[in-house]
Amino acid sequence: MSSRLNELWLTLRIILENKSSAAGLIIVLAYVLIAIIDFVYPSLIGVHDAYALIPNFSDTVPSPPSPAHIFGTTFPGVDLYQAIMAAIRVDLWYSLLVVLGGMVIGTVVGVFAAYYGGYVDEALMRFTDIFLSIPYLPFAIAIAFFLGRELNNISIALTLVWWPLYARYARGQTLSVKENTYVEAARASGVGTPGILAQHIVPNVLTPIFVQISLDLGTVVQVFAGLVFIGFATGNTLLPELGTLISDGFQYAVTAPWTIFFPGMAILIFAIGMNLLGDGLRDALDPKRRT
Amino acid sequence: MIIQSTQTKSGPSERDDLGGDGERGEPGPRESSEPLLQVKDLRLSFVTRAGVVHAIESVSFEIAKGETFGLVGETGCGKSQTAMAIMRLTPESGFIENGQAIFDGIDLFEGVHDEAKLVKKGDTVRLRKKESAIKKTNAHMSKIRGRDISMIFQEPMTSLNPVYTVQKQISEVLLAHRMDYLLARVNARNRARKEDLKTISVLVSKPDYDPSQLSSKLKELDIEGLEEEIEFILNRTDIGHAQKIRLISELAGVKTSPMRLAFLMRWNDSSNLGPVYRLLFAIPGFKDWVQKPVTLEARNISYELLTKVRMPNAWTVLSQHPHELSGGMRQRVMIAMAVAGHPKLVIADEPTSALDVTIQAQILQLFLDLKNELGVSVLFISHDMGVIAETCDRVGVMYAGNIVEVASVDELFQNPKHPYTQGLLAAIPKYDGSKKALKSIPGSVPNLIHPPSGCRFRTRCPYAFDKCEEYPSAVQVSPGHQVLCWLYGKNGDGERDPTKKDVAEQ
Amino acid sequence: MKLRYYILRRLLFVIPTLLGLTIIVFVLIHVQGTTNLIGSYINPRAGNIAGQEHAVIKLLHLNEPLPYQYLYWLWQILHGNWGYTHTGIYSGPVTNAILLFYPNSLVLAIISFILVTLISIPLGVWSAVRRNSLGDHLTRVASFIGYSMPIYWLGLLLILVFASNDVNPVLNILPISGTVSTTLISSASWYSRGISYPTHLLLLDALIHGRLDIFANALEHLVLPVATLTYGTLAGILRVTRSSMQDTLSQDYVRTARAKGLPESVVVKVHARRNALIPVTTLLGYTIASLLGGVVLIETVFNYIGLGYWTTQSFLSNDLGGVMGATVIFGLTFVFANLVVDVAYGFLDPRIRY
Repeated sequence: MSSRLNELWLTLRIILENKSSAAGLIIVLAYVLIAIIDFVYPSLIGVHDAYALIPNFSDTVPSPPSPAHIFGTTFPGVDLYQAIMAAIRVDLWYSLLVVLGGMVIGTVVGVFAAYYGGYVDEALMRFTDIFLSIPYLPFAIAIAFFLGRELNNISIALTLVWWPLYARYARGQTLSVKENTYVEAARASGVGTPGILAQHIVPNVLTPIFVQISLDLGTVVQVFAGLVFIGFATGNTLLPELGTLISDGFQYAVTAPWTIFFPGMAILIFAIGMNLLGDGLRDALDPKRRT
Repeated sequence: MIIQSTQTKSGPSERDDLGGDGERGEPGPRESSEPLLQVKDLRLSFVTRAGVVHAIESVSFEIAKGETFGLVGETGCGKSQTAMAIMRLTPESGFIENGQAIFDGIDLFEGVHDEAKLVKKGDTVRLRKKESAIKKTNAHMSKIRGRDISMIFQEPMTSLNPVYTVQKQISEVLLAHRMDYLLARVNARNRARKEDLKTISVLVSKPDYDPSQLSSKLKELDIEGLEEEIEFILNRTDIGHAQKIRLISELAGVKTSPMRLAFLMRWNDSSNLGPVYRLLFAIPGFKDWVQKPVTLEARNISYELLTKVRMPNAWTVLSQHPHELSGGMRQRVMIAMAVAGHPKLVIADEPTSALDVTIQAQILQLFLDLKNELGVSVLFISHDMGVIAETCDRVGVMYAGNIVEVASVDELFQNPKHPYTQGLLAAIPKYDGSKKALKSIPGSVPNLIHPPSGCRFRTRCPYAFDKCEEYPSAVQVSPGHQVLCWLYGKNGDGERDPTKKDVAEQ
Repeated sequence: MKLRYYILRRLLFVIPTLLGLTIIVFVLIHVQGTTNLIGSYINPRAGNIAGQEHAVIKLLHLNEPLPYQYLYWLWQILHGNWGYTHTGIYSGPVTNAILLFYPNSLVLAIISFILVTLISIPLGVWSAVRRNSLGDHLTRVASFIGYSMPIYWLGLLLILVFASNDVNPVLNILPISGTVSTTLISSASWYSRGISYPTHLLLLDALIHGRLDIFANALEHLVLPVATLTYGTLAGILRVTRSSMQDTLSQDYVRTARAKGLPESVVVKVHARRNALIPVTTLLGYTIASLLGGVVLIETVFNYIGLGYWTTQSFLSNDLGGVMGATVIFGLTFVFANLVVDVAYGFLDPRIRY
């Protein structure tokens, strides 16, 4: 066990060595921190209500950034700073669900397919390929449409769209790992299939998948916000969400650019941070560079 | 240390006589003792995250024309890097810090000192400047590589481009370096008339036919370019005489339009083409179309080359890709590529280490035969003493970045002087009936970031004494046999003569 | 195996893929039960709603077990009966709607794709060859940002920049919305309610009718959407091309090519580049999927009338026929695009043909 911790520590050190991935790590940690604070003690960062936008119907026209409202306000009279801070938690949460869900389903399918091989493999992979034959955004739209146009269903839809990618990846990894001699050795010493899967295969498969996750999270946040932006969800329109914010500001964009600028920047910065971190993680885990 | 070469033993008389005329005239004793390649005081380091690795401390040797020089040593002793340095293919983190390499009068290390100054800043590397320095080096070396010096690598699978056919990869060398010959062949083919070929057929069918008559006849008919091809046909062992005659008469089959030919020749002569030509060549496929006759010619020559390297099913192989071939076949392709440009020196970096033993034997025999036929010099690198013994005339033993002993092969095996060489030879398992423990040299190769001062072998040498902390000077123990060791020459004392004792552990 | 057999095999593979596509769509439709499905097959203008409903139930055999329903539904699909759509811009049979909206999206997607490949591949190769140069760093930063930026947000920003405004009257040179200027097109009799006739492809029709001014205007309207879509998509390919080229340049066979004395330009162009493009081609499939998704977002943001715009309108109006039709067409396009990519891949890499 401690060797795993050592490896983790070494990985962390390599990440921190590289300036850009260190920056990425900082950005991501900042966002996660904001999300946690939103959940536990929102007023710490000045958010009054972490679960709803606070409209101000007496002054619905967006006003530019000022001391009272550092990011300005958007329609209808919502303070943008609070809205963005609260929305970060929401977006992060939903996106994380998508990625984790996709990872779990995908890994299970991929590992099973590769481990058992033969017909199981063929069948599972054909099934996966069907999902991969439809472009992901229209597919997600279709799924979410038929499930019902609400935020949770967007998450479910995106999960269903995303898992095949992980399945393919996990399968490839498992194929290369399962031929390793230590698996044979384990089997020879009597370890049953669940044991082999748990102890040897899955940990080795997970590592590159984690890298993939960190690279994907940036994209998922964008896509999720995008679907909300085009007006997909008919539910709670006061739920703070970065896509909602951008679409709220859409009509006023020309005269009040800050209404779309800041929410978009929030997404952009997170994606940049996540991608930097993901790149750094991938380079750090690349065995050629670990000396 | 400069290691001189004396007269090498004459080529093929001591080995199997393989007959056939070499394309360079009769094999025989080499006349001049002007070395083909001279390496002096080569010093090479790598800059890594862990520190500066002093991979090669001081390497000097010479290779004479027509000689096969072996470089033997363990993994990590720097022999491959020596070869890379000669070809200027050192990886990016490597620096030639010092040294000279003169090949046939050309300075291969031109610009090395400037490069070192420009790029190395203490212990770090200025990447961008290094990139441009590498580019300049490549530009200057590309005229020598493949043409005068060629190289065969260890791993034939990864050394061949997987997406191109064998034919294309061999033809590349021909198109790049032997364009004149290609054009001569195309020209000759064009000029050859049915009657000319008939005359040739008659000539070669005469009972008193002698190969020297062929070239004079061809010269007379002004179709000299076809000489090699006709000789190739005549030397084939798989078809009868009648077939050969038929093939010869078919030689004039394909004609090229004179306009195209003139264009190609003009293009070959002038190295600097006008913008109109450059524009034309940018059109995809145009250049290939114009060059078609030359490419076809190159294909024929590739076939001849493959046959020369004893490739089974040569014609089929031409249109196959590397992954369709076995290891031995791939290595033959590499050898064919290496000799295609008619080089003067072939560097073979462990060419058989990735092959199994039976194929190894075939390839080694091939090397010997080619050496005799073509008269090339070979720098043969290996970690296997047996292979070196079979193929080389002279050999240098390397340890931790230095050549510690040089001698002719026979002398080295009969009279090893350096303790390391003795250890190496003693460590070879021998089957002499008795079962003794395997002898090995105690200790391990030193860390090249912080190597021991003076003689780098002293930490493992059972004869080391206080003088060894100083870098040894080369001593000539007999003509053509030098050692880098304090035990010999003026400083050696008889008691410490290691030939009286066993170096290796009991 | 020769290339031809590989292509043939790949073609055959399209059929099960398409079947799988239809199955998924069918499953999705029936998640909510059949009411909406029935609704989508009814033409509200034809009256007798109850009678129509009855007819639809019979047609699609909605009283029988699901597998049979699938077969009958598939039969209808194959015969061009996809139901009706009633969105703001068009009401009528779904198949008609597709014919009307698809060409514009095709134009957008194809032009963007061509630009993406023409820019990102040479740029990626160049960037890898001149590693660590200023150009390389700039390229990497630009592609990184493009990769992280929400594509619709970029569109919005561009709209801001080019919008006519008191603040920046100068930059009002490009239209920011729509497919063509309304004042100009009102003079065209062959254009009605966002759809042009006869080819439904505005650019082509404008040429056919000899209206070069409309043609130019339509092109102007394409600039921003294409620019946004291209930038968002090429970032991914650029990254992969660059890293793949970098990997390839350190391969042994590149070293061999240099050892053969080939000039550096040949080493890069002939030996390195083609091998580097192989992993890029693998990614091309995913990139096209991104592109198609981007089409939906961009058309919505720019009010560009095409399949994506219609998709958005459909789900906003809860129109099942529209969503279903658009999904199937997107799927078809993607399957075909993947076919082309796989063929190109087989052409590039001889190893895959075995």
